Amino acid sequence: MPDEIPPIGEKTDYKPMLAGTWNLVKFEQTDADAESKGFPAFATTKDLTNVFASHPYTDFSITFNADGTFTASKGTSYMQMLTSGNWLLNDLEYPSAIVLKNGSTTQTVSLGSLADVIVGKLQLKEERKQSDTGKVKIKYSYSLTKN
Amino acid sequence: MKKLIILTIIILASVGLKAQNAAPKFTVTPSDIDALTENVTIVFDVTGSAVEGVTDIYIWAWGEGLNPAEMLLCYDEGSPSWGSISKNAKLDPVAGEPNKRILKLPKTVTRAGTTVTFNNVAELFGVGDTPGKIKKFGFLLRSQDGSKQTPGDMATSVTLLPLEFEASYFRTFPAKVSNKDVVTAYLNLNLLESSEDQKLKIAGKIKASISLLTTNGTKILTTELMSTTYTAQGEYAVSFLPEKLGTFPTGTSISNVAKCQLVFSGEVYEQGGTAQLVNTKTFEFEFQQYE
Repeated sequence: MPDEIPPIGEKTDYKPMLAGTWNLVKFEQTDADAESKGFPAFATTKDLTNVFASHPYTDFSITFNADGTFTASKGTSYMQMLTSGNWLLNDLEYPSAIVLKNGSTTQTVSLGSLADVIVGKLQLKEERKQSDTGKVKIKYSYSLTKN
Repeated sequence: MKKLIILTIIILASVGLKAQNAAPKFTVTPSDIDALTENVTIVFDVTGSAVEGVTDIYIWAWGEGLNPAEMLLCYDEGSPSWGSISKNAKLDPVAGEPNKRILKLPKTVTRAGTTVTFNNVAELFGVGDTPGKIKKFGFLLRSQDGSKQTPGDMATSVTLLPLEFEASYFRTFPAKVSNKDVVTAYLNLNLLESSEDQKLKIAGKIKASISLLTTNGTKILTTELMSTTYTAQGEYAVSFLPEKLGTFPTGTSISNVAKCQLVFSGEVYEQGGTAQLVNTKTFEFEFQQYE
């Protein structure tokens, strides 16, 4: 059930909108070099959602609780994400990332457009950067829908 | 007994010569470059090579498929000549590291009486306007007179990232990948190389065997005959997450994995109906260090 759309002019509080269970529906990998050079789509982005038949990424879900804790269920998927801990937004007013913490381990996952959160769609992003230059080499995009 | 001594001397001399002619080690920064990448640095370590101890070390480099193939630093004008290498090809020393030399871009030199700056590999090989022409270059290090040199025949080479997508016999997606990423390897039998078993053209049930190796080439684990899928582009594809390929032997982990080798196999049916397994060559790529 999508959250109620707030009145125009009011600041949006995304935290309660993000609270709830989100299921992964699509997982994509992009070669940043190929993207920057305008390679054809098949050589730029690959849909990994069901690339491992016995380990579909759609098995993954994550629950952001209103009390600031989270639990993630990988199911049979090879998803590389913390499975429990605390979550927070990097900026309450203009969030661009969700920070997941478990003890001393922190995983920062970028938020895609927040426009669709209100209708129960969430896009998370991660980047792999070259160690010596900091240049983005691989991008991962997770599309999730709210239960 | 005399024969045994002579044989031992020959073997020791051969081993000695081999050790003296080791290929130089080198590091390219950034680690993956294309023909137009700027601010490229290559550091050479000549320890154990034929040019160790030589004060002035020169680079002789050639671009695969180019004509002339030689790097512009190697000659000032006219045609390249092994016997009269340009002073521009002399590598710079590295302070405090007597066995190291460096080539750094941009590099400004005087060539045919004119000051020229080379900003990238394409410009070094004279194809700055058509950078897609250079995909790989080989090099050797030598003394000024050429009496001492490291091995040629692509014993040391640098493969450049493509500027435009080109179908190839083998590729990975992403083109450069770390050992923590999902890797997809593709085989395009429509582009079967002439040196391969041509029976592969009619082979079916294409499978892939994948090995993970350490930096020094020791195999950590191998997963045999993984199924492939056939893509809309006519390629056979196999996807894997290195960490999930198999059980790592005790004392090893994904952090020990530096390289990957793949061999594709297909079945060909002989006249009697017996299936014969035909293999491709071994494809190898190195994993990148990504954060």
